[in-house]
Amino acid sequence: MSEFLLDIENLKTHFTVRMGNLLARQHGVLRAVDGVSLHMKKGEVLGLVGESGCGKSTLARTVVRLIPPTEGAVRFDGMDLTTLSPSLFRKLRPRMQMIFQDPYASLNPRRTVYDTLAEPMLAHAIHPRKTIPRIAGELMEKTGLSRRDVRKYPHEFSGGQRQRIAIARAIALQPSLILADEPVSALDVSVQAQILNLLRALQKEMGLTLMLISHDLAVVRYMSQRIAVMYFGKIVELGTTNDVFAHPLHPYTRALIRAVPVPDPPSERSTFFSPLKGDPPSPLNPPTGCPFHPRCPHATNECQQNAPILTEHFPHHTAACLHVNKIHTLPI
Amino acid sequence: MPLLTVKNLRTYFHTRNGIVRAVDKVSFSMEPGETLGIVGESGSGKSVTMYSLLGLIPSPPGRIEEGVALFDGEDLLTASKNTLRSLRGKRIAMIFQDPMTALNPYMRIGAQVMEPLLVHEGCSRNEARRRAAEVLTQVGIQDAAARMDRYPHEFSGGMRQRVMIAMALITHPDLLIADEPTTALDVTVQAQVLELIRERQRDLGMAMILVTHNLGVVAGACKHVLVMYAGRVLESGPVHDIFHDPRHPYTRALMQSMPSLSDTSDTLFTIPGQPPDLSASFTGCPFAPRCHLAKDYCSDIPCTLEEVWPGHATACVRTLRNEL
Repeated sequence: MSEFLLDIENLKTHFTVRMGNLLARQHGVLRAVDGVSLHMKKGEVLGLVGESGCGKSTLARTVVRLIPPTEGAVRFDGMDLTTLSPSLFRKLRPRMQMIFQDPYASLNPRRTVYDTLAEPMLAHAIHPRKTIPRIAGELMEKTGLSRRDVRKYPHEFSGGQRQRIAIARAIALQPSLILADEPVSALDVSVQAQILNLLRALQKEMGLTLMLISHDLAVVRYMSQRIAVMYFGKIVELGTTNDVFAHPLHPYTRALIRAVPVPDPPSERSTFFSPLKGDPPSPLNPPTGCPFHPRCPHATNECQQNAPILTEHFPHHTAACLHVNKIHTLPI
Repeated sequence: MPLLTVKNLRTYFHTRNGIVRAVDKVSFSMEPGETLGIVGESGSGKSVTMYSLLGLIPSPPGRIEEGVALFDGEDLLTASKNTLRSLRGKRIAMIFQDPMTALNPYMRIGAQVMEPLLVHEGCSRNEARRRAAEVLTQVGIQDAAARMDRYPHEFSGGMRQRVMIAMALITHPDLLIADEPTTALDVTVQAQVLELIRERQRDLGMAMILVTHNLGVVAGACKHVLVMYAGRVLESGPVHDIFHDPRHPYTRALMQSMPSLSDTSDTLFTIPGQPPDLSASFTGCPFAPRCHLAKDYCSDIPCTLEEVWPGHATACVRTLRNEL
């Protein structure tokens, strides 16, 4: 029995895409997730950050087998999900749940909240049928909604309330693992704070293992104990929240931290500080060597040729950069 | 002389479920070259205010009930369609939030960027093409001449937003309205785009209204700020005063509920409840039901924006009575 609840080992998810025009059709390989290893202890909150298109959502979806993996292993409680038969996987499935970004799209508009909450409980038959109405009411209250509203339809709720419903649905089966994919990015600031506090309270109370995917560093910092930074399908830095924010090792992490606009007006109004030039590279035409080198301010010739591997530079703090020794002493 | 003065703007939507008071007595004014930030959550009336100025409110159900918006002496709210058409895209340009839906997917990038010149300045096609390539280069699109023949879907989000900026700036407008220009973008790209807008703004000496819900963006880009809630302006003032000495409980609550990179406190401050339903009428402060400092009379006394300090105004009755 492994000490980890979730054990992702060298996971790869590649997609075949068609390129070129009708006459000169080619097939390309898009490496959305390209060799990710991550281990999560029971009860841990891990924040996964990165720009859009870096593969963070694909990673989460591959873990719960919404997308089949190309290579690698995902062990949940010691069992490899990638090779598990569908019927055995179905038995495990209640223990891992997802919360999606858009509460307007992730709830069925034609079903009452009760139907939405009851469905997973009926499908997996984890509670006696008779107790479901009571449990649905409890779930509503647990997530800060009114028990009476259980017969309403999603359109009768605001965005924040819908996200509460999505959370209620996710915890209905008393899962051990929750993968939350940008759970607050569609919400307003004041509502975002409510949802984050709710997620954090539930995580503590139920001892949930939570993978929080977000592009918002402040959100991730508030919620997580450890942070994984993803770029171009790979983890480029992994460490405790404090280490990653206080001593970021990878130039990409440093750039992400610097790019967050600070809600404090500068005394002299100069310019915005944009630490990175250019856009992320095309995943169909990956750069040689380190995928970050075309945008990296510290890149050398070596970076164009050799791809760095994720190495532990400090205890429990790993990064994939050839120049960590040079960079980590620089001020952020 | 101010470039734009808006007084008592009220835009209502007459729907089957009643009258939605989307913008209710909004007033502000701005000087040439100034940057004004408008912050507020969704539904606070930021975008409707901007659309009202440009005559882009769908009518029906929308109707401008009252107000004046003087732009260089001309009232935008009563101006004829032709006058508005000659101003929009020429002297007043707008950047929208989502560059994918704001660009025409069937038109080549070059043709879209050239269009304002062909419409407003009667340029020849060759001249327009040359200038479009120049502007696209200025906004950081490499190899602009060749890329002008591409379609929007061939560009990334950040690149599309650059195209929108190029389109907005090509006629050297006096006023740029940027409605959430970076909300759809990643932080690193957001920083690039904001820097670009500021740079171009300085070069052209144009005024800008930056509509956003991101307080960090406002702090970095604006000189003056309006804080909107439920269709009204609750506080307005210089950016320093708003951030360091906010005089409305809503502004304070908004700032406290943002998770920040420096703060590692255990629970986030939250504002209880939901924004009010704008189809219900209320007399007092719209924030009163959610405000932890509210007294009974807050919901009864009509609240109007008044100065607490020259240039810094609040609509909080208790602040104005010196109770807070």
